[in-house]
Amino acid sequence: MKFNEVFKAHKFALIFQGVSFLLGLVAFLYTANVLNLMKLVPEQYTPSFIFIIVTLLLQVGYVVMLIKNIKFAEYLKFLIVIFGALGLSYFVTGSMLSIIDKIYNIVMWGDITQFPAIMVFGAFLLAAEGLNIATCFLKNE
Amino acid sequence: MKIKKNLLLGVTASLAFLLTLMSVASAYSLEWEGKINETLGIEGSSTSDEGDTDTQYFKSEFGDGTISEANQALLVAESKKQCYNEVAEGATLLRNRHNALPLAQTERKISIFGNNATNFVYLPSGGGEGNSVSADNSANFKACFDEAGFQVNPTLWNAYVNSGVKRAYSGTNASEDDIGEVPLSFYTDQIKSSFDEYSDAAIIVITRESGEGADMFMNYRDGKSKLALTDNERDMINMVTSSGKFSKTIVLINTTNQLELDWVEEYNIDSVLWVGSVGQWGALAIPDLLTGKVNPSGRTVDTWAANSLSAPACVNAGTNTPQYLNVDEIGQSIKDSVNTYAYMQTQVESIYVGYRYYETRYEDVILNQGNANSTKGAIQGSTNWDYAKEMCYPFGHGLSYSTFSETLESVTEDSETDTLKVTVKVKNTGTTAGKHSVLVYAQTPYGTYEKEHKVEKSAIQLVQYGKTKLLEPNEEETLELKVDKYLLASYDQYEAKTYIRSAGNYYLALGNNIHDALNNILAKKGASNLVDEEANPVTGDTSLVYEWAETFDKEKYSVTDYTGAKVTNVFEECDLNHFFDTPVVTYLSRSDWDATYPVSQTRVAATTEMIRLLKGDLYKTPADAPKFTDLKIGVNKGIKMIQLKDKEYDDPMREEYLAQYSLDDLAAITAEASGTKPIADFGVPHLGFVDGPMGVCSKMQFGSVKCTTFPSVPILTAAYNKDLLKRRGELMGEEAVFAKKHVVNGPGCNLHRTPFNGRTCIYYSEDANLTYLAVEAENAGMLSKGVTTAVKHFVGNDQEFMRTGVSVFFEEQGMREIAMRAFESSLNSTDNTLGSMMSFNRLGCVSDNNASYAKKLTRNEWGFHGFYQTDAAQHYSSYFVTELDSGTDIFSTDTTGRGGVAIAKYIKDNNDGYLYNELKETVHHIHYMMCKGHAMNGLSSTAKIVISTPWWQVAELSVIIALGVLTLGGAALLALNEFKAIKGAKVEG
Repeated sequence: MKFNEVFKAHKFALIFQGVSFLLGLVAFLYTANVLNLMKLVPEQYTPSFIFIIVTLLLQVGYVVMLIKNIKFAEYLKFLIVIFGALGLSYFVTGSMLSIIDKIYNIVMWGDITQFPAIMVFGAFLLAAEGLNIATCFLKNE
Repeated sequence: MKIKKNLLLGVTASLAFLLTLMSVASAYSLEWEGKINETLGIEGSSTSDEGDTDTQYFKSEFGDGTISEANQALLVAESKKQCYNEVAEGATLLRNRHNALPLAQTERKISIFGNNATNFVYLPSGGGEGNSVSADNSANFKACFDEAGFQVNPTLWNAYVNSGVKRAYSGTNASEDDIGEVPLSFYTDQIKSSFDEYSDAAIIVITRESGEGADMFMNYRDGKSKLALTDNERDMINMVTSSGKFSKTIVLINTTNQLELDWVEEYNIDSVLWVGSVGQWGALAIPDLLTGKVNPSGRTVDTWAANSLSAPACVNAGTNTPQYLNVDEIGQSIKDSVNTYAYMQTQVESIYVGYRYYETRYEDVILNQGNANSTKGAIQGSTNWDYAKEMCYPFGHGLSYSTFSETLESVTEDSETDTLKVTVKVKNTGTTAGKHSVLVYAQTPYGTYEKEHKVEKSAIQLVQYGKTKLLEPNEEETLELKVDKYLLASYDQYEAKTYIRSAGNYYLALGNNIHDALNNILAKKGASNLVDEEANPVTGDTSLVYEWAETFDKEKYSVTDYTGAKVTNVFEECDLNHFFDTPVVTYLSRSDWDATYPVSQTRVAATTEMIRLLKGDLYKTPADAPKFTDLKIGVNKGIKMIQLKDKEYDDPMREEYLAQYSLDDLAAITAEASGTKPIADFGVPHLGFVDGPMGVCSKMQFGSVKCTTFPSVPILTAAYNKDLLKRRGELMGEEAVFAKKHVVNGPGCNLHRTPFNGRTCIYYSEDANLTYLAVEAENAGMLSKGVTTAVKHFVGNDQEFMRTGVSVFFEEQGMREIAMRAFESSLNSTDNTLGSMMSFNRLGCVSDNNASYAKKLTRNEWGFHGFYQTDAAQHYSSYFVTELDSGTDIFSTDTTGRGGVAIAKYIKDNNDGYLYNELKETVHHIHYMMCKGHAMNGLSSTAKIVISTPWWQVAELSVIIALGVLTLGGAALLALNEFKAIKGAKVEG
């Protein structure tokens, strides 16, 4: 099936997944950057980092399955939601110490300077996950 | 009913999403179980006891076990009274020209200046060391004036409230930090016209805020430090004083960092009152101090210099802390964040911290020795170092609305206790009732031996203090103060390698402040050309000086009274010169101020050995270590913790008790997360830890009331009243008991090494001796309630900037007589306290937790029986095995118990019986402390510890199960749908 035909048939799913992918990618780059530059607690974002990668790969897989018209593609959406949720959850837990620092206005547990970025990319991941869930509700056009 | 597939998939995915979030959150919450339980007021264990013995080993003034509403109100009232008393007695009247204060009964219409008055600092930022203070749970600054009958200029006050300008606090970036004062343009004609009606006095509030992780910036704006006035403040003060509208101008200093007050003369300020940060209820005392309802009796606990950067410590401190020259090379060996190894702080000032510098240099100028009048260290623009130019208010300075005379009645020696009994008669010679603090100072000889062997001597030091009751006019009181002669010994690190008693003449002196006392000593020595801090010529009062002679003795203090152990060098690897063939550091010496005053930062490239130490993985199993598998452990003999309650520290039963534990159980005790876990088998209850020392904090409650945030520690200390210190300890202890906490992380025994220290608010003073004397009383107060104080941060944590890993280098004399002296009265064999929190910084190159100084000095030499815990979080690699071997007992906030797991694994893998014994000793310290505290309350020999699952964990599990069932149900329906679709397709096919 040609891409424009696929796009026509799965317009909203592809738009949602495309936006979700981009949001997830930005968050991924942030966590990767943190791992590389902010070695404060090196392991804090590792699980989130891994689950976001898996989510992104699943999203690519989903589009490929649609293009190739492979059966059960819609069930991949389910997995995308689960791994996206894992990525988001571990992002929040990995950021918790910096959030605590911000709440108490101290420089002790995490990295208070990361707080604005945590809020922004946390919101990105949450929005991406919202789109992933919304995709599941879409009819197979 | 047919369910649409997309709807089913969407709903199932939503459920899966929630299930995933809940599962991760649940796993994470288990790590933080202690903190969650603490927040929800859940203990996690209870005591089942049918015994009829009185098991309230520590009695409360407010009810045993539980607190009634009536007693709760009583405790609140006591704590409120304590806050009031601390500020009433600690607030220090620095200046009072023409007796501008107290304000007369007719002077009640005032204008309060300073935008920060509307954002007054009750508790400095950081939050971790006191409960937050808000308008609804505290005595509000402005409301206190209203209630005291003042009429505060409403136009000005409301304009500040509506200014929209707020103090911006930044611990890390000076450009993001703002004092929060409004510009001159803010004061419109309408505002200015309001001054006419409220002109009895202008009260100017100057505020500074620092806090945890945030020192005051040394280079803040326009080349000035944050302790200097900003342009907006200067403009405001100029506007007030030049307006000619106010009868009096009074400045309130609302910070615990010593501001540079060289401007008070320039602007002709009438009075200056330092109030520090006042905690929850301390503001109530401020109007009373201004009106004379309370007569100020506080005295400074720090030196207030004209330019704080003139202190020699500032060259290598705070935001001036330099980096190693080879940071990249070091980084190749260390995987941690660069900030945890890059910085080095060399305490080149040696013992010359605070007054020890300014006063010693003054004496040497007067006696024309040691090139003391060199320009090095002189305030900018000075041709020679001039004490009066450098100084605003010396240590121990404080005015009163009355006058007092001190008479040195006698000094007698008690050779048995090695003390001097100083008898001082105090008389109120004024017309107002008031209290008066007596500070006893001492000078020890600095002779040929000391110069030759680099034994540094402060020209004067505080050695004891006391306070009178409220004395009516003409009333007298005689105080008897005991001076421990140990404080007069000096550490000789190069020749005797122990404490020595110098040969020569010794002096004890009284005075209005430390400088006045020094002038009295100098007069006794026959010196001339003496001046006070305002450059006025003085002659000194020799009647306030006691002189005697001692011979040289290097034996007397070479064996410690605490344990009988030999006292000798233990910090040689902390001296930077230790790592180099030729010296790279010149420590400040009064033998030649010009040649040794530090003019530039000390920076070196770390050597290979230093890099190895910086890395920190230092433990190796000793060759002669016993085999772990040869040791008999884990046999339950039925010995419960309660049986050890009254046993001595070294009672053999403690050994038997510990041998009952399995290795894994023993190792797990090293983990702390808002407390340690209960152990039912051996009758060990839950142990609750909480942060201090401004109060029992972290939002703790007793009954339905949040624990009190007390005033800043320097204000409490400035009262120079040990009864007040003890009462603070008792009340914090009471609140901790009812908040079900057993260990309070505090008091803070680090020093105001520079006035820029971000946490001056929790440390007593710049002076090690004052800290040594003050903390003892506060510890005793808390201990009397069965609460253990964990004095912090052991040791060398005298700044916030890069505290997580900065290498602190020093010479032995400086460390023993300054930083360590402050901890010495706590961490010794007297069980004055049984806990300590370590610091994040390194000692020398080695992480404080990895450094064995806690063991070498405080255990082996001072005989400390309590526990050491790490500071709250790990910022760089934890080498748990090394840390344990070095003396760490508890890994703070080790929520997953990874420290204990690593230790147990190492012992098993290496069959290391030596490390196992170290682990056992660790638990010995922890459980000894527990036995001496209120954790034992409610426990009899028949008591059982019952461990219960907290309700929130049950709730969490229930939600996860429900979500799991629903998700699985959705998945099953989807599968069924798909199966039907395939089957249908086959049928159609």
